[in-house]
Amino acid sequence: MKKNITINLCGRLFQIDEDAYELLQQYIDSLRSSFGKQEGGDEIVDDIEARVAELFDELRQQGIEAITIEHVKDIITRIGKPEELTGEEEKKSEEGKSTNWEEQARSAGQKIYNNVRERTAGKKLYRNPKDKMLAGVMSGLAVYTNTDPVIWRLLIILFTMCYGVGIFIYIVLALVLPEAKTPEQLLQMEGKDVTPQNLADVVVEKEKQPIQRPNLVRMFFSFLLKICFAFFVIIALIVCIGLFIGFLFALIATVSALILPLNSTVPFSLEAMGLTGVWLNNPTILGIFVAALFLALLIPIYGTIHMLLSLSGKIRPMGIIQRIVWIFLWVVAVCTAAPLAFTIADYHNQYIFNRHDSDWQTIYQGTKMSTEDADFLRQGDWNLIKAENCAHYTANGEHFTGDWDKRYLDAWNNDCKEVFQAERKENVEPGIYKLACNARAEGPGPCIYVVGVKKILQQIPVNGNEGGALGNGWNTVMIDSIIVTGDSVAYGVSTDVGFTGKPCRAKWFSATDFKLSRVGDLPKK
Amino acid sequence: MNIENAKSQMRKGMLEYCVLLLLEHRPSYASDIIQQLKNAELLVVEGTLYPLLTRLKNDGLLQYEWQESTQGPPRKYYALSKEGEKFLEGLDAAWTELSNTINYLKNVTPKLLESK
Repeated sequence: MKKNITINLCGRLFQIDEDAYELLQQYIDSLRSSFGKQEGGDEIVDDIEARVAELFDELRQQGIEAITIEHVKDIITRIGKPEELTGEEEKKSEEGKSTNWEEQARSAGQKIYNNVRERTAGKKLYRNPKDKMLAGVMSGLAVYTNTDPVIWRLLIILFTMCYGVGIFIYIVLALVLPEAKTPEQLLQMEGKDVTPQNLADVVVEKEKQPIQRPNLVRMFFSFLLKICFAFFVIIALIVCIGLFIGFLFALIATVSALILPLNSTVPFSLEAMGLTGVWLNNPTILGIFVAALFLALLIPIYGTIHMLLSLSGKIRPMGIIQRIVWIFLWVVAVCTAAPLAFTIADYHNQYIFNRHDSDWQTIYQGTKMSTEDADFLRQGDWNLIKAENCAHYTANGEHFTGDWDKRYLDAWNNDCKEVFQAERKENVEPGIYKLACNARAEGPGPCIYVVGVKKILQQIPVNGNEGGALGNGWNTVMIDSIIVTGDSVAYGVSTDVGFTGKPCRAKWFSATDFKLSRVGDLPKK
Repeated sequence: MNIENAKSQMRKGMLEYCVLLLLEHRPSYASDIIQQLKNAELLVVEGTLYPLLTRLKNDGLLQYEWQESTQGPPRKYYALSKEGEKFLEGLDAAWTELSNTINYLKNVTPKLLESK
């Protein structure tokens, strides 16, 4: 018993078996693709289609009601395979052409080229549905390279033992490689020519696919596959939902940032997000970041939805090139968005600090600052000699002891433009002294200094906020052999290039625990 | 080189000329031509004719018109164009020449062998 359908061929209706129809469709399609290149190709195929209709008509007049695959096969042999039809025309023109040895040499070269091409590129890489443990990736590779799938399976298991690299490779390949589904793809996978005869074989083979013997290993793997698949779908959905929520937030933020006036402080306004500073100073960065962010969020959402739909058979899966292009775009988007996110976060932090300036009503030595900053400087007897472009003058929270409340001198400017100099004077007896302090810097430039008989500078080691001898980027900085002949000594920290002679390339520095101690007497003259 | 191959090469070379000959006196549609060529054992696979007809038409040697049919959809009836007629005359001349040559060679060869 076979399913039977009615088709309309050149305005006439015919009853035809489903497999016969499929074969006929493949035949007409392959005719179209081989005649498509030449002039009037469509017309030729239309004429042949009309001829098929005529032959069907003859069959009907002989009393045949339903056309079977055998009839279609006969008709195809009668009309001819695509390569028989196009080949003859080409051969004829070739024969006419190859009159001199040059042409002959060229056609010989062409033959060798064709031969090589046939061996190497005759096949297309697909996932093989006919012999699969999980997704048919390994057996697809095996068919492509004409090797045993067991080798590939062992290889991937070996790779999996190396920190699970194999699993990653497998997933990537399973996503990138399309599965050979249509008879045409199955033929391409095996490197067979797409001819009506071969197509018929595939269609027939599909029809009476042997019932696979129950195999414990296979059953186990297919059970594993089903679990993995379900797990994968759930994870994909969760990730998709997460990305979608992220996308919604990003969309709301972008729209409200564009619509709301600059001085608005409602949630999601630029001001509330602390992004007014970036927007005014560097709108390009923000624009590129938002575009890249949208791409980075939307591509996986689109990809996941597309894949889930194609897995459920609602739409055609993406082609291999399409997949590679999307993955490439996504990587570019992520690689663009990630570093920009850090830059924007820096601007954001600085802006948040600066924003409080207007609230900071305490004035210490002529500079407006927060009460905490002023108190710390006053208690430490610090003279604020330079204080330009600083987001703040002291800070807390990253002291190497981990003590959150411990304050330290700290200046910050995201463009390294802070000019800061704090100095303390101590009355001492003449003698030899040494100075110790704990400090850290984000870049070169900031210096600890002492002014005794002469000025001594010591650059703060550049560790950022990680590592260092003390942790959190902190190191102990020492200045030895300070000769003091007068009755006082001044020391402190400076980023001022006019004072240190070293241009400041640090966004910030921190310094604290200054301690001047006497080492000995001055040598007697 | 086997004989079938050689025969099919000869037939192929002739096909164009034969189609033009068939259409010289009365317009026909593709299936007619196929039937006649098959009777003359000139055609192996039917599909070969269609690209040939289209090529001849595109070269301006043939023209066609649609005609209603009593059974089935309208058919394309092919006929020679003015150019096609001239072309056929050229082919006729070439054929006569060729067949003369062949006949001459067939008759003359035994004599040559005898004289040796």
